[in-house]
Amino acid sequence: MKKMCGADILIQALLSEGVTVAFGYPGGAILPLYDRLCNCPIRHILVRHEQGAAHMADGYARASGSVGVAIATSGPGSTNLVTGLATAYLDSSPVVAITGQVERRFIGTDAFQEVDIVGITIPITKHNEHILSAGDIYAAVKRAFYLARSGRPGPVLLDIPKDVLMEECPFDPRQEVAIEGYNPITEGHGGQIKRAAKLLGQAKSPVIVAGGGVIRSRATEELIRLSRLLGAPILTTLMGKSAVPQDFEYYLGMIGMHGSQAAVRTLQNADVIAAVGARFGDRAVLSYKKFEKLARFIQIDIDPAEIEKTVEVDIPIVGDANRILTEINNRLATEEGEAAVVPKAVPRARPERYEGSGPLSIPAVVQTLSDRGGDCIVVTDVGRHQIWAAKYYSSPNLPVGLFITSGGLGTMGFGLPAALGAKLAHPERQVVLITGDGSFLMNIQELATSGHHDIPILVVVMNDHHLGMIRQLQDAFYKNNYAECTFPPGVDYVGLARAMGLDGTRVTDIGEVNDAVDRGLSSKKTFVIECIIESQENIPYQSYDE
Amino acid sequence: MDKKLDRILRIYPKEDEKEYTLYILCENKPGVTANVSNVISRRGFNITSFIGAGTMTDDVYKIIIKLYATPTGLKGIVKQIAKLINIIEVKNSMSDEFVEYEMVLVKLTYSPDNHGDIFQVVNHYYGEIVDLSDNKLTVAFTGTPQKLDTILALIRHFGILDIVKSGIAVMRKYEENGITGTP
Ligand SMILES: Cc1ncc(C[n+]2csc(CCOP(=O)(O)OP(=O)(O)O)c2C)c(N)n1
Ligand SMILES: [Mg+2]
Repeated sequence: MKKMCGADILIQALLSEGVTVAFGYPGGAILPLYDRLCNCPIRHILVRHEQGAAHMADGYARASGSVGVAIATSGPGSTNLVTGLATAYLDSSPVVAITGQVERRFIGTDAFQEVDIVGITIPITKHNEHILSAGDIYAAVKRAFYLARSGRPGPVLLDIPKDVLMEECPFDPRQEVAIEGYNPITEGHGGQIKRAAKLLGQAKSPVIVAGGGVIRSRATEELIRLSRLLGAPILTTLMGKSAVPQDFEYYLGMIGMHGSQAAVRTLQNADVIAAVGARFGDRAVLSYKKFEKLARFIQIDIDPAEIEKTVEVDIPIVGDANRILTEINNRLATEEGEAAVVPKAVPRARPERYEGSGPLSIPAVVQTLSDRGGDCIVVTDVGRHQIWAAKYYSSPNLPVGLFITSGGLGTMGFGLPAALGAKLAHPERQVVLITGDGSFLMNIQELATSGHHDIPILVVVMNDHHLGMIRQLQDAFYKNNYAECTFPPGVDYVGLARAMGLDGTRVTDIGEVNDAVDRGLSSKKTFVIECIIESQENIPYQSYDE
Repeated sequence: MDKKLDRILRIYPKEDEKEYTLYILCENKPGVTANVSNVISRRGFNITSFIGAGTMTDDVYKIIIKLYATPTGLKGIVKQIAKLINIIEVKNSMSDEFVEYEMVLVKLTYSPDNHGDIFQVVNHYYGEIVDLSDNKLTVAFTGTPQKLDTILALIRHFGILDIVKSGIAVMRKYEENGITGTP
């Protein structure tokens, strides 16, 4: 049998998984891989910080639906991935991280750049493994990709000592990838599906709450079919924002702390709530006590551990959302099913619109972007701008599944690298990043990556000279004590872009936004629009109290 | 209920903690025990006994954990452990479904004066002398946790220098499959 070194086996495994692009940063322990990587067809994006690599892989994964790959060296290289892995974990994004480790004989000696990254990432990965012999690499990589993308997707980390990458061993690609304890359930339980269809059919005012799981399982078509069959409005969580086209006639916006009032009231008046791939997170539910009393619940989720994690449900169904919805729909679409469905009025989608005027505000800029009606991928950072974007960006052409945001972990600095990853997943599409002055600076170095690798996106920085969301919290809960939430003017974001070999322009009036965006979208390089935001408008809070 | 637990469980109904036993069959891979105990500790629950050992099947490992948890908390723990990749099976039981056995090593101060009293307890409870040196005596007792509690209460006044417990070995009364690791 042919002998190969560990690094080559790793590359063969990546190629067999269809990997065409990987995001990474070299270092001593991972150099044997880099030594071989440059001669293979995988495009390597040299990031400027490993956190950027993890978020890019995540953004790539969310936009493409396939696994994103991040590579880092041992020690600080691997710990720099941590925030990115946690972000991917909480939003169920399929990422495989490969970290170099010190040579086997040095493990446990606190050798130079040795860190127990497998120990560190236990609670923030779906799975992780040390690979201690070159002969194990191929199967471990196949396993990692399978785990990352199957069932409820999530990040997987493989830690490989330097000498394992250099070790020669016979290479046999016909290896089995059996994992005894891992059998994700995809098919829903027949009896539960029957009960759910019946309950939905008989409901007077059923509503559907769509979460990120709808996007991961590509269940939009069946979700829409269900909504039309029942005449049931669709509400989404933040992660489910782009689960349906924004102009779908039954779509009523986002629930939760900063959702739309129409959505929250609709939820309140429902008699049956079907949650699809939504995990009843605290920000979406508002109040567990009141939420549980709202209606009868059907919960569809691929992860059995999500069932009744926070909310008691009447009919739980574990499995793939698309398959389960298809079966429910097929039941309801029979003559018998149709007869059982209680007819309801057709709600008309009324996407929330921002009507405020006055000095330049974040929601006004978002509304202007939305009104252009473009089909760009939209990526956000974390803060007030993120929530404004989720509320008011409702271009009917927003592609399904391509409103990309860090919902679970709320990671500032996610936006720029994730947007670059998304662009690589869809080079034919335009990508707009809506970010804040705080978030943008957290991974600003990736502007250099964008220039270096020629990955053009449009960046809209909402420069409110504030950690706006912090200011909002201080308004609401700390008697307007604005401690450490302001950034003095003086940072020139357009200048920053230019310093990185890119371009941009500054906007101070709402009337200038469209021209700036036209310029940005026709630019061949990444283009930064710095919006000088005067308004400190806070996002309204929703509650179940009328 | 202490503060920390109260906070963690704020979204769950207030419940009292009970003692549960978890049986876990898993692949014998590095990190499995760390993964399992992490699921429990991050929820603020306390493990009272944790033992792990091989089974009749190579590469299959059995972990038996006793812990105090609320019923709702336990449900979450079982689901999250089941979700771990290297876990083959998780079961939880209440006390009437299994037999429990434990071993304890006790080191006592020994002198000819208390020889008779000590040996009365040792003989009565079938203790085994595993070491004797000058003025120290080490005895092994086996039995149910309740029996061992009684023994410890009886010999406490002899002057206990050290105690080591094996952890509680548990076997379900009514089942053969799964637990042995043989399908
Ligand atoms: C890495 C990280 N650190 C801190 C926070 C807490 N935090 C949430 S929003 C926010 C302010 C974000 O500021 P900016 O990016 O300017 O957005 P704005 O709210 O001003 O629109 C902060 C500090 C966070 N979410 N992530
Ligand atoms: Mg800001």
